Amino acid sequence: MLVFLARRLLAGVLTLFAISTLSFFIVRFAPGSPFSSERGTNAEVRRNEERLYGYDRPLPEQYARNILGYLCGNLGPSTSHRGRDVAELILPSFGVSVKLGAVSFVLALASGLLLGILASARQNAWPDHVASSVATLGICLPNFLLGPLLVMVFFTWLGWLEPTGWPQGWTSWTELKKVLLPAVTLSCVHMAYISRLGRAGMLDVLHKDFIRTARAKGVAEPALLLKHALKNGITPVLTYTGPMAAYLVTGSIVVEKIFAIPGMGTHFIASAINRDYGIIMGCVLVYSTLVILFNLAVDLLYAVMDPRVRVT
Amino acid sequence: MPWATDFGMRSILSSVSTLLLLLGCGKADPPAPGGEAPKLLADAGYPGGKGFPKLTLTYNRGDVHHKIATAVQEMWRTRLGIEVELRNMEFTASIEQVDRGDFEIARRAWIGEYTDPHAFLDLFTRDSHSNPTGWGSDEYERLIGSSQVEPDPGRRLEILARAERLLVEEAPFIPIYHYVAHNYMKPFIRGVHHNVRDMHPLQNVRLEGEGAPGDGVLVFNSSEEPGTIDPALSRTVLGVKILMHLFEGLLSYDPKDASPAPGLAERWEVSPEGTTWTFHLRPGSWSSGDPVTAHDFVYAWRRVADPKTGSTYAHRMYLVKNAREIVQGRAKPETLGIRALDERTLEVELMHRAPYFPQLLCLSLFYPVHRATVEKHGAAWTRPENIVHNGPYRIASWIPHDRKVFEKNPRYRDAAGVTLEKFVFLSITDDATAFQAFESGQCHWLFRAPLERMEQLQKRPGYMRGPYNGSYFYVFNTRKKPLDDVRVRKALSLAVDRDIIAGQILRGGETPAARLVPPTSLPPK
Repeated sequence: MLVFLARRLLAGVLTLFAISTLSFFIVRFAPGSPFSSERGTNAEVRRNEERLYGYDRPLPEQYARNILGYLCGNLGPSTSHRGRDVAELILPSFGVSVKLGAVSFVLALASGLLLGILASARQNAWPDHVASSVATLGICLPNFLLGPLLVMVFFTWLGWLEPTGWPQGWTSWTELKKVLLPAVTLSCVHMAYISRLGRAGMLDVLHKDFIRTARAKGVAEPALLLKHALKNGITPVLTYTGPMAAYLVTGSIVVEKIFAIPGMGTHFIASAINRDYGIIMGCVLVYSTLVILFNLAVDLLYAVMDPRVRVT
Repeated sequence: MPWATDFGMRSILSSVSTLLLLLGCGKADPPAPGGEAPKLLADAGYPGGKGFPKLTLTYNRGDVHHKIATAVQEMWRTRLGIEVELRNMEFTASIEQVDRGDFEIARRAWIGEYTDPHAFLDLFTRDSHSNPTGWGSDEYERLIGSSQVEPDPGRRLEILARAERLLVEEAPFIPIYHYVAHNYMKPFIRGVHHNVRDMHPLQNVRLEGEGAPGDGVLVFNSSEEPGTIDPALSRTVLGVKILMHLFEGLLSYDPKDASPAPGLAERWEVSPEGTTWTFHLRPGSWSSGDPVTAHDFVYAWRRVADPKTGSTYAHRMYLVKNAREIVQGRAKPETLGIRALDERTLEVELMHRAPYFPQLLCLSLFYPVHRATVEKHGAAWTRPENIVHNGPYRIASWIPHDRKVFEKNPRYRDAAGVTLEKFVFLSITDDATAFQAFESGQCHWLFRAPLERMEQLQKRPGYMRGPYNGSYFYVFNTRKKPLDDVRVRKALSLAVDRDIIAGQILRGGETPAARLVPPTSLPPK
């Protein structure tokens, strides 16, 4: 177990190194500079700015400084928010994205499982058809369409929810409900996948011998579903939750834009437009670390859930 | 990327609508065959557009830019028989491409920092770093130069008018339209006045009448993230709009018409040669309690010019003696043409006459800063917990890409005159999202609206618009054939119907342009 963990962590670090190297050069070769301005660039002014950030140095030297900085846990300064460091800018925004991701995770898992179980319990009857229609819709509707649609229904028509913004605190309902529309928008596609995976997994188990035996022994249907079938039936769902968790935190870029949420996606987009090399790299590193960690967590969870899987 | 599809769809729709528009207009107002433009093109060796190479028109992504480019492309096709290729690029990439000279025709725009023809004509001097055209003229240089020594204001304007006529005659650019400032406000916002700089000091804004928020807090959307609040580093119009509430310079924008009014300087004198300005300061206080002195200005201005500061806007200070040499690293910051004669008297030496100097002094670049704070905290001095400032408001909270809360600064020298206690601004970059926030009442004031909502919003009470000190134009790369031929440039310019662009594409009261300098920078007739 420990050897496995150490090996995976080492592989993770190497992956991060490769990713940061690649993104460093991709970003530097993108046309434009952090100091591009529509009002033109004065040569000596540009030179002073570049000197200030060390961007006048040869690229390999900048790269080495960058990587050394990362090794010391220093993400460097931001060019678009001068006077601030990358870390102090993206960490609070990362917190926002994590909160949004967590709410969406719970929503997707709860509603997806519910739909999946219902569908499998009444295979080929109306609950199954409804669940499958909802899932198809959820998969087909892209975020940038679903978000504005939800705003139209719940703000413009019904007036129940605010169209934009992020809760200022997590105690009052007026603030709390601001998270609903973005979370639903973000979770919808995952809810759909989970319901399909859950249905398939459950059906697979429900046709197994031990279920037939249990049914023959007279176990009631709800207990049969939730106690006997569910634990085995949701393995495919579990496989999906790892990438999903990573995706929910890293994939909220569009949703953050639609609902004006100060998350990391907002920083990521703005930094790409402003060519803020520090923030771009910081976001890429945080995103990749997340994906690596979530994948590792899922592999470990397998071992816990299914005794046949052994991590070596 | 899903949003790319969104933009793709939108631009397809907008091209279709522009085409329909042009077809419709074509019937009502057919281009005069054998007009001046085709004749010029024929004289240049391209009769009916025959043999004319396929040029590219570079612009950056945006609904309006795309619609205008499509319209111009169609006008050139139908009126001159020539084809141009549209190159719709990401913003920063397009800037870099044009700066590098890798373009043929490109979109540009200019917002004048002051209302004076010089603010615009300066663009096309040889010295300008905002002139990608490769065009230059000895006569033009001579005229701009002599306008800088001419003591008589009337004659100075005449000289500048001559320079502009020369520029239009040589046509290194195609004027398209002059800007309009739009403000979409809730009707309960009172005390905001249109002005050509679109600057709105909020001190005396009132929230009254139906729908006014009970807490008395004004919320507006800035449409972009201001990034920095260091007066030496800020480089955007938004930066000035925000910073003028935190700091006060020698002059500041009058709350009524945003004209330069005495700020910390209560009066000033100019020497007969027009190059030495003496400012007399009134008592003012930093938020730390220290008095604001002439030395604070000296320190702040030297800091701007100091290469170690890396100020993006430092070249705006080149008017001050030795500033250029200092920025270039050829002189010490101490040699800058500014000195404190005593605690309350400041003397500034300029390179040449500049009647617009008081207007420049309203810009954040020329604000004082608190030396002890800057030296103690370094780059981190602008953080809300460190900043020391001297303006009417203070920062209560500042979340990047989210809410910024400003409260009245009790230590401001005229705190009694500040009636709006608190305001908040949001930094929602997406126009459609900002519109929703406006509709829900989360936000009371927008500077921009989504194109498809403009007409609807402009009919509402509270909407305010008027001329804005800026011009939208295309530039030619005169180093490239056949654009090195003035006849070709003029033909292309003449074939653009500005009335269609202003009246049918923009539809927001913009003025079709036949020149570079907007009416807002010309003396009233």
